[in-house]
Amino acid sequence: MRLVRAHTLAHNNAVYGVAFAPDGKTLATASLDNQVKLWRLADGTLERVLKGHGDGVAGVGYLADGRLVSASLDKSLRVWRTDGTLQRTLPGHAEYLTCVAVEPEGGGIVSGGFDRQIRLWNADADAQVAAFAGGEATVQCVAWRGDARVFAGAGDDNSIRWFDATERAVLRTVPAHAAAVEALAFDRQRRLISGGADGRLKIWSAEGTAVTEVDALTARVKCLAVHPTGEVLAVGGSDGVVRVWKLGAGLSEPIAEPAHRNTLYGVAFSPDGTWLAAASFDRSISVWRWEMSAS
Amino acid sequence: MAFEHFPALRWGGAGTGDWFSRRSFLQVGSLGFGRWGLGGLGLGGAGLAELSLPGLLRAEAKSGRRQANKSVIQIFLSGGPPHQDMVDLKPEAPVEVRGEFRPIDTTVPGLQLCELLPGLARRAEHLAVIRSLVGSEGRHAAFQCLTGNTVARQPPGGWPALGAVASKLLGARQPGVPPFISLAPRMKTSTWGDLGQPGFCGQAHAAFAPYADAAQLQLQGITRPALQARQALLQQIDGLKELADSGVLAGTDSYYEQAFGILTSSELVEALDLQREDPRVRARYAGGSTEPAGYGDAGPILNDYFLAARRLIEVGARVVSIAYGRWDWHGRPHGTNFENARDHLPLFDGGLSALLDDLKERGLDRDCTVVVWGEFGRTPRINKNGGRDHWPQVACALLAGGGLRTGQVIGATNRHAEVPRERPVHFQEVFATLYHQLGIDVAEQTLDDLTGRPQYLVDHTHHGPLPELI
Repeated sequence: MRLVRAHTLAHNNAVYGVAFAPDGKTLATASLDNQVKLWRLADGTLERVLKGHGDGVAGVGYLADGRLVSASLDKSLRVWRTDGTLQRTLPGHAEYLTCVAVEPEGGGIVSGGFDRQIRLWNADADAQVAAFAGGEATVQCVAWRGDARVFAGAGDDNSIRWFDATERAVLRTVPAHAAAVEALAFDRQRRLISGGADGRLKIWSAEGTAVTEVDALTARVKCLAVHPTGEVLAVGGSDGVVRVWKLGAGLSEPIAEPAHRNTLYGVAFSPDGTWLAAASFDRSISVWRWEMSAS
Repeated sequence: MAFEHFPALRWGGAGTGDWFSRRSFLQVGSLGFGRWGLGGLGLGGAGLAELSLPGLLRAEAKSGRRQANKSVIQIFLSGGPPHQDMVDLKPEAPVEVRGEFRPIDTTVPGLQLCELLPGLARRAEHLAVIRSLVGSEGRHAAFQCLTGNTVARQPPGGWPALGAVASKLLGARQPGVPPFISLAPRMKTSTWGDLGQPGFCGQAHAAFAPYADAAQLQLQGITRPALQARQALLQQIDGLKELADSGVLAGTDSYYEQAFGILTSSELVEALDLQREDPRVRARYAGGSTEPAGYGDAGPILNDYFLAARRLIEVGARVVSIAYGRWDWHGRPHGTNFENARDHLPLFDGGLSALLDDLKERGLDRDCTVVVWGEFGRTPRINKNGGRDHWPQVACALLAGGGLRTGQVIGATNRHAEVPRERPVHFQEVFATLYHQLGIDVAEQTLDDLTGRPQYLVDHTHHGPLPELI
């Protein structure tokens, strides 16, 4: 397996999030410059800039129907139509938003932030569906599981919480890392993978038991993405290096791509698994062709 | 930089029908450029903002004064840079204090700097590093770094900025070049975009501020949209030159003619046009962005500012001040102190290194003093968001050039960089040094405030020029 660099893209400030559109043709990037940029993946051309947030944009995610959701430090989420127009604004968080995740098949949105709340939204409604105590401190990351209405959240209290979106209930809370939990991702086996400011990667069973733990090789893990096939895991952290780990029963020696001069805040694989993007505090985004067969 | 990046000189006004009437010249002279040139002529003081440029030139000519060639570049790091992550690293401190960076050796034995400052480490013999700066008012403002005094308890009229004092006491070094120039742009946090108030020196000594909307040069007949294109601007200037050359000005007061000459062909305009710089030199100053840095409430971090400062000093500015980047790094969600440092420090290292080299190669380093600092230091303990908060107890400063005795460290802090351990250096001592460099004796020189009461520029009974440096 290997990475072949395709594009280097830029914002005017730190880049906090990346997401590929369901059709695999567009990459959305979120930045502290208050903007979301939409890039044509084929040639790296900037197609559109989504403006309107009053502060930095902490994250982005695509709904299955192609609409885009952005979460901002201005305490609001925004839902953007496929033509780039604003469909609705979702206020409700009382402090900075730090993270957002969208339901893989459906209209669910989950967000977290400095108000220690994890809020559940529906992309077609103006009001939140539910709010959950996200812990004893800032919520730093959320993730949806692909096969069910289950999501997870974690943050500065070092714990992970699993939630049932249908029942609007907390399933379990597990003390997880020795420092803040900064990144979460579900794999195809319903396992949850977490990365922390303690520099560790952990894999959790669907029942909340830690099954694997490794040194992430970076001082602070900041972002994770599981390949659509479930075979590999991309990890970004404070050293600016993208590492792609083989994801089996455990995690094996990764390939490393020292791509950026500053912390990586976001990584994502395209839905067809052929692209990998990484967003950095150094104001740039790297986009690679991902070639699994080279292994 | 240059005009295409900055909305530099706003040339606004009505139609062109009365361009060369006496009234037009009076208007030209009373705006923008009218706010300088009174220095030492007994014409200063508040309320003289409307004195025309021709009037100033006439008065200056009568003075017959020729000033020394000394100058100062003030670099303000908006927000308060982290002293312990730049010039006073504490690798033996606990992890919650020492941070993420390693110290590196420099060309000065015993002096170490942050690993993100390798360029300055190689030029350390040209730097004086103050590790024990005290006296910060703790206010998020450029004021203290521009005036040497605090916002609180100001005399009537207010404390003047160093540049305003230089303008009043020393005047212009070169005709056509304002003695005090601020390159600070307009910022959301206006106290960081402070141009340096003229205070009791009077509006006539306010900074010429080509990048701040509030203090821009205006001319009749050229509209703001024209400024958006450098080419259009230059074409219009060329048009003015042609008119001037046509003899239209014949018979007018020679001072009006001179004022017109400044506005149309001055070295000032050329100095601000960085396109005119040798590309090899300009390349040394590469780096940064024209967008506001960090949270968006400060100015850009852009090394063109350093180059513009050098060009302005070279053509005769006496004091040039810069606001550079955004250094108020409280941590997430706006990036940790260390992420912001990884963003800012390499740019700063490259920009200041280029400036030091450039000044030396041009022989300006003997006369031009450079000071770099912010309004305060940062907390020794890293907060829960990976940031460092405000810490007025101690800060740092860098000085260079001016024939100072560089290649040394002044002062030291305790083991966690919390307080000075030896040789605390007050803000006013640095200002006394800067005034000394300009030939102004703070122990003798007073200026009258608006009530006519003489005011010393710094508290000379407690603070004088740094003997280590001069």
